[in-house]
Amino acid sequence: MDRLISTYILAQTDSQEQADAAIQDIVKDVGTNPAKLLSLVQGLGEYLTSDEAFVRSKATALLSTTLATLDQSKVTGSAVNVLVEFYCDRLTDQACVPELLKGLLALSKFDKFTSVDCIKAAKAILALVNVQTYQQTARHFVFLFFESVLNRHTQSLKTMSSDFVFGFIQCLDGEKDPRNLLLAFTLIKKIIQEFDIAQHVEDLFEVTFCYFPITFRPPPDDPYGITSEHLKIGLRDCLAATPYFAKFALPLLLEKLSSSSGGAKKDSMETIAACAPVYGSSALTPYAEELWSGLQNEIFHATGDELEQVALNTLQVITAELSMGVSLGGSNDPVEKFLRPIITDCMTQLQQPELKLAKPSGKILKACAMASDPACTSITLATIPTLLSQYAASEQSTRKKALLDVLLDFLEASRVLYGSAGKPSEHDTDFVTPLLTFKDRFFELFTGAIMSSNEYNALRLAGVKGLHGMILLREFLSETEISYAVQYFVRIVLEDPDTELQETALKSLASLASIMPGVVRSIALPAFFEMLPTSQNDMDVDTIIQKKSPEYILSAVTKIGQEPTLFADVVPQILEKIELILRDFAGANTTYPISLLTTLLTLLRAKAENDHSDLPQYLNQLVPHLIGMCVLPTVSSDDGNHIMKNAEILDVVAGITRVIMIRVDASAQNDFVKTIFGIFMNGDLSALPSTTQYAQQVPFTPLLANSRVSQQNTSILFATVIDGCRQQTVLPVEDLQQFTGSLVEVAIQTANPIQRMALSKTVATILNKFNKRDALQPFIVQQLIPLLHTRIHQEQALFEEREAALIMYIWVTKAMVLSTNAIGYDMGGELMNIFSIPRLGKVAADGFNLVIGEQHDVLTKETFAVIRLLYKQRFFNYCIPVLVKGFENSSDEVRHNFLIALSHVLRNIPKQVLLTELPPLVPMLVHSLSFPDPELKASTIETFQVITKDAPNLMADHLSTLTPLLLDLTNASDPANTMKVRTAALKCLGAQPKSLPFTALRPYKTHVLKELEKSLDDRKRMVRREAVECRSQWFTLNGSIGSA
Amino acid sequence: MTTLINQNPIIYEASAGNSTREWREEDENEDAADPIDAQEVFDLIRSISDPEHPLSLEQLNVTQRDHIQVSDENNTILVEFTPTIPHCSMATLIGLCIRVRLLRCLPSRFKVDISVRKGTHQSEHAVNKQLNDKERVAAALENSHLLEVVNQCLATATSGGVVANIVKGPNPAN
Repeated sequence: MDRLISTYILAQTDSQEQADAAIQDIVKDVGTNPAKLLSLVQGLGEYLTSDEAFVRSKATALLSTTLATLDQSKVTGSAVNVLVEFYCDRLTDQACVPELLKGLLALSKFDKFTSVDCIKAAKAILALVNVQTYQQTARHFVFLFFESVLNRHTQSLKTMSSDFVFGFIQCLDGEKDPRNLLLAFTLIKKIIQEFDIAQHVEDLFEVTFCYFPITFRPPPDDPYGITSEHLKIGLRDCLAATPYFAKFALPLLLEKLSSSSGGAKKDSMETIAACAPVYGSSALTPYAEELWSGLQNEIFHATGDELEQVALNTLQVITAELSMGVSLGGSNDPVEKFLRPIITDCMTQLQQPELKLAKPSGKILKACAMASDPACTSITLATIPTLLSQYAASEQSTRKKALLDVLLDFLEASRVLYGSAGKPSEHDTDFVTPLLTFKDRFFELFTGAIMSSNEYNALRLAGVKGLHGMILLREFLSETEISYAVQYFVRIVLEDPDTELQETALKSLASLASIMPGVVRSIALPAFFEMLPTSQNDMDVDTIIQKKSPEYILSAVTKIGQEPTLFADVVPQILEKIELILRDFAGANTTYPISLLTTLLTLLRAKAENDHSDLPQYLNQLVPHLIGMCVLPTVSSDDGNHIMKNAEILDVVAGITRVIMIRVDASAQNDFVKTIFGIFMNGDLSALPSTTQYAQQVPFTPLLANSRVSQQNTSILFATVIDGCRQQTVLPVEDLQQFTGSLVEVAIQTANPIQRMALSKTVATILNKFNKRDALQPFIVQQLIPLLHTRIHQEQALFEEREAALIMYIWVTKAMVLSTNAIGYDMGGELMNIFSIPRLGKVAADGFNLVIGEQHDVLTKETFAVIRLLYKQRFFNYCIPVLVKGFENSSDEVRHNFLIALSHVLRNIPKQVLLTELPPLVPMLVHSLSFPDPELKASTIETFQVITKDAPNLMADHLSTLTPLLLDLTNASDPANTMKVRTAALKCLGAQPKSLPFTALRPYKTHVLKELEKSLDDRKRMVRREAVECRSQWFTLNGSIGSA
Repeated sequence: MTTLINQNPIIYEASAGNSTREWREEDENEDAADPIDAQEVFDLIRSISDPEHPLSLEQLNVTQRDHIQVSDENNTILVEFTPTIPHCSMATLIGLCIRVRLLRCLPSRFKVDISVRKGTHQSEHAVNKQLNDKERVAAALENSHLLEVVNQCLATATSGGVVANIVKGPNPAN
């Protein structure tokens, strides 16, 4: 032990490691045998009494550190007692104080540290240590010590009462370090709450308030993470801890409110808002007038939205607090007294409601009215009658509109205070809004505004908002009144020519649909459906001009028809309309039926997003019906044109099927898939809702290469169903490999691109999803890939067949890459070998987009595809070196395909991966810009734009090459520089001043500005627009420099 | 707080959305030329912010589309603006902002005239003369403080006419 102690004491400052090792050994030693603590103290004896301060301090440090790291159960109560005594006695030795404090802190955490010890230590520190003369770490120990004892020995400290509070104030006085302050603030709050501070209120206040407002700014590389916001909140909590502070704090806070610094103002207002509820109305009342005059300045002459909002919020809190004040006879009611000047001031401004200060006045009244029932009542009664008569007297519609805006503020305030319609109320239902008195006048006013034939739409808009606001109030409008209002909305949506008005009315209806679906269902929906054409005649142009187009009405339906009860009404209505079209105007174009079906799709998607529980039921109600509509026309003897054979319609029906299917469970899926296989594989149409209209006259064989084209097209639906299957759903086929193989065969042979695409997708989903435990692996490796390979390279075969095989190959690659199946990477490499085959090369290069790009309609996460984490990165890492190598070893024509593939890969890769891998690829990218392929150019420029934003230094390195190239690309006379290329180039150039350092760009500024002038005269407006943005950015480069 | 020349101006509704221009099919056509018209010039200047208030020139009705005349084939443009009050000392500064904005954003083939709308300012003649004197405009922009004020007003201007972000800040013209 003695040896260790002397090693430690004698260790030079530069052999810190040695000292640390010695401490560790000592701690370990004492830890195993508590008796050693005694020998440690004994061993230290000579050093602790050494004449050299340095040695004494070092010896103390050793003891303190040991105590701090020691397992406390090993130390006896009497040892703690003795140690505390020992430590306290030595506090007079200034050189050792920091280390002693550390030791006391460690001791204070011991369970055996008694309340007697606590008082002894606290008294000793307060008496013997002049805290502010020590360095930060020592002061920190003091505050930590007090934190520890305040948490554990509050009761015993209370016996010291006033001495403790006073002593603590002295410790704190003059403290500047943010770490200590943050801690001290929490302690002050605790002291205020726990101790009798009556005699020290002013001292305590002074030692706290002197930090207000906090102006601390953390150093840029602050390791402690203390922000000025932390300190502000800490200080604010102290100030708001006791009502005793009120009389000291309020005058000073008011003074700071008039300071010129925005930060101080904001802090003052927020602090007032935090303190008001604690200080109480009697403390606030004397300052009411000053508070208003200070706050009004911040609102009427607001220098920022944020400050204005804080001021309004503070006003609201004060009003709320004053409302709780005891009323001493009517006229002295504190809230009345506070509000009187506010109302007068605001009403003066509102005499000219179209001017700038009217709006803030409305906001002020709203904030105050929102505070409490008495405030709201008093403001309402004082202002509304005047506002109403002002409205009646004014002719100007701008003025009327401004007045309505104020009324809208009142409605909003009422809703917040008294509760919304249709929502379970947390508000006191005993109170009703004072606006109720004026309900009829309001209704009259808002409907009047809506009906005004004036050109000024804003007035009518305010009318719509007003009615909406009234409906939203709890227990305000009667049912009849609500249905009147809804009728107004419906009429605007259906008849008004102004789009902004229509949109607002529709938005109101949409929001009502969720809180009171009944009225929307009984009034709005029927009115909308009534307006949809029901016959060929209705579709004629003449009649449509007067009415809204069917597309418009249907888009309105999509906004309101989501709710289960409403949607249940929408579905039969839409189906009925489609039946009507099919029966009565079969020759019509497909736009209208597509809109009808899209309406269903949009609504279903919205329902899916909101997790509506009624969604699954439509798998059996709606989907077979729609599939029947598509399938049945293809089996009648007449194979002429029919609306439902249109591929776009099939796509929408497929979309509807998918959205519903992926939300039913596996067992429901199993049943559904069985039915679908019955229809598409066996031609068994009995499961479809039968109609007399189409008798089956030819067999239904959509999955053959030689069947009717119209039947083949329906394979889109089949593909969707398989794509929508869950992984545990069972496909009802005997041999999955054979089934897949037959689909591949048909896909290659068919001349129908729609069928080919559908079957390729189907094969890809099956291989991706049902390859459990590599069950399909032998089939893929030994049969499928060799087959496709032969077909692709069969030079004497038709190009279409080779292309079909290649497309299938690409889809299979995608399926494998998604599941990070190793075969996928080999297939990707094989694709690059195809780049050199004429025509097929381009298809293969574009295939990379499919392989690594996100698909929205197939093989997605939501359709249960097997998508492994980081599959893109893994593919990227595999193929980039191969691509680069291939590029270097190829002729120019083939190089083009490599660049296309590269651009597809780069475009689809996550940004972080992109940025780390980019530097070596830049030369290749630069090369891409000189190929006359607009798509390639545009996509490459986009990559450069990403580089500009996220890797500015990389961009800066290549400016000398890139800037002239990009400028060339803005040249409109080169036909390869399409609009898209030119705008992309301008966007890329325009992003530079925002991201790159000024020094890097300065050499180019004059030249760029000059060259951009040409783009200002581009023949396309969209390009000019981008040129203007870009040029502005370059002009303001380094702000002060630059001239026109 | 410095006293403002016009403490409490009237605020007008700025048309919502990007631009009041409707999309046309030929916008997508590579070869169809879109001539520069009054709407386009208006879109360039409507979102400039007023030197005094955190509002756009459009919201204060200082600029209006109907007060802009453009002839693309003759390369001439006339922009008239309306100060909020007849004794507004900011008129020249506002005019200068419009001038600089158009210098930066329009092809140099245009001859741009900027003037106060007739009868809306007590010293309209003097203001107009200053704004259309090339040398005086150039001299004004040599003044780095003035240029900073102009750049600040232009910071909110966008080519689509949307107010990018009118920054309420301490009055730059103090």
